[in-house]
Amino acid sequence: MSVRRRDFLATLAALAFPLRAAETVPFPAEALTSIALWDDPKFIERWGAFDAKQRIVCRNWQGRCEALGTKAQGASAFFEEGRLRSISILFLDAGAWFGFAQAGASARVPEFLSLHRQTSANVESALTAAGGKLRDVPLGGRQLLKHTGRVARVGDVWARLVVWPEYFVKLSLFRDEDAATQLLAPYRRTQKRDDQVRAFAALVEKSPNGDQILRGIPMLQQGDRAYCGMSALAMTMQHLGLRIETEELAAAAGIRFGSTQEAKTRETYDDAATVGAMRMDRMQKPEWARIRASISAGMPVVVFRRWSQERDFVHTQFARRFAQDPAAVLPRAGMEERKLWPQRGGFAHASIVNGFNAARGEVIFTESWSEQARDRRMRFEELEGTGYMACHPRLP
Amino acid sequence: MKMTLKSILCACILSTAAIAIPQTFNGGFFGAVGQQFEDFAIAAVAPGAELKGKWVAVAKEDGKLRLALDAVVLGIPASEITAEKTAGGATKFTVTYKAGDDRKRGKAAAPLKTRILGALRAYTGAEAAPGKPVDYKGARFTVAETKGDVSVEITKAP
Repeated sequence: MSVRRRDFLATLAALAFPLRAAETVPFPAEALTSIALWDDPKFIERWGAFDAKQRIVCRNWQGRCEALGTKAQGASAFFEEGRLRSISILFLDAGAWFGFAQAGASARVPEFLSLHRQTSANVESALTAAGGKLRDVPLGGRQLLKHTGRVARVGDVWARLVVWPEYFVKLSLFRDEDAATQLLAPYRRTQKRDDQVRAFAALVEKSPNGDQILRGIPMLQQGDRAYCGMSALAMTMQHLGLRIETEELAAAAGIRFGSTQEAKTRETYDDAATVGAMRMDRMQKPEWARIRASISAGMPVVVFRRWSQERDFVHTQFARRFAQDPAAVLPRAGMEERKLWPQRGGFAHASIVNGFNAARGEVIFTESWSEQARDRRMRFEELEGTGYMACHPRLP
Repeated sequence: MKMTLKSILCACILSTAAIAIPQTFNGGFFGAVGQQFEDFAIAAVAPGAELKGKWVAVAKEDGKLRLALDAVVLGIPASEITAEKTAGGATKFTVTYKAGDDRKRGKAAAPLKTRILGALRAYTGAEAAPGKPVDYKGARFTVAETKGDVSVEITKAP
């Protein structure tokens, strides 16, 4: 890990990762107890602008965040069809605390563990003091994602405290008890399979230029954390009705103290699919026909691929240019162009393929970095040439 | 058996390789200025524009400044960036990529010049070549190669 690389990751964290936001609008304490505030346009506005017609939106609190007398690393809100669905206050997360591949991480573990104990104790006692009668609710099935939520009603808000030892402390807030005690969205629990198939397929937008694209995938930013695979999975599963977030998946995968060494990435993908009442098909290479079939069915695909900063620059610039000039085309994948693709031995990365254009031979993909990293384009040959695994969720 | 081996291979790749957090953000210059260097340079060669970031005078070269921050330009870390400045503002930026620095970052399939030209094409949408400048948004990009080192000059387009 070069200093330069760490620098630009840290820069990203400062600029784009909300957990260290610098503005001074404090998180309102009433949000923890009063549902009325959740529908207040001024409160909604403070999460940042978004299209209310978008199916699911995730926005981060734009200012400093403290709740229950404890400073938090950040807060995220999930909106469905423009209505605030839930708020997650992340008090402490190992990935954010340690940062990405920082030297000397092991020496800081005792400090983190002590902080984790203290934070979880503080939040739990404050929640109890606020009148919450906590009860344990099992969540996440029986395997890697298995965890316990401590659920209580405080005022007219339902709270769920998750303390995942060695990983994170998070308080999530909901409008009702069902949402606080279930990870799977109601429509996924009640609709017949065929209705779900039709509903997901109906999410595909078809543009006159031939784009077929899934637009309503919420942006769960990975920040300065080794969580690209987990954020991509969380975004995908949220789209598919499993209300799981990056931190739970990272903990399930065993991304300990910010390191992906020995992380159970594949197994976590499988388990998330199981908890989400889905199947996860894995292909050893991205396949054009299979990707088109998945997208047409309303299912995003997560592709693990080789990545380079140089190539990312090309994709970033093309996205900018394409936004201004829809006639712009990517270079054909000739021999010379292929030499510019990320080579073996480079960095690995997970991206969400959320669309394609068959006539242009392009996949449309989204990164878990920011709203600006949505709907980029790549010729399929490049995805095929640099991808080494494609994960296709599907209904069983 | 073949499938099992493939699965094991796939698992090994994932367990060891999925460790990157690629991002689109540059290092020092971007962090300090909040803008890609190439975007800044286009704006800065306009008359009266100010120099952003930290620049230091180059000894014995009147009007020449060197960027005292790391910068990734056209997606590739630059070895050095200099600016030529007159009373009216910056007249030329020269971004130098040294072949030796590039080699230290690992082996690339394509030569440095090819990669820079490819990035410039992605940035401007126009084909560039040594000796064939590209004009883009009022600025001119001229690529040159000397003994493996590559430079990109950014000046005001005529």
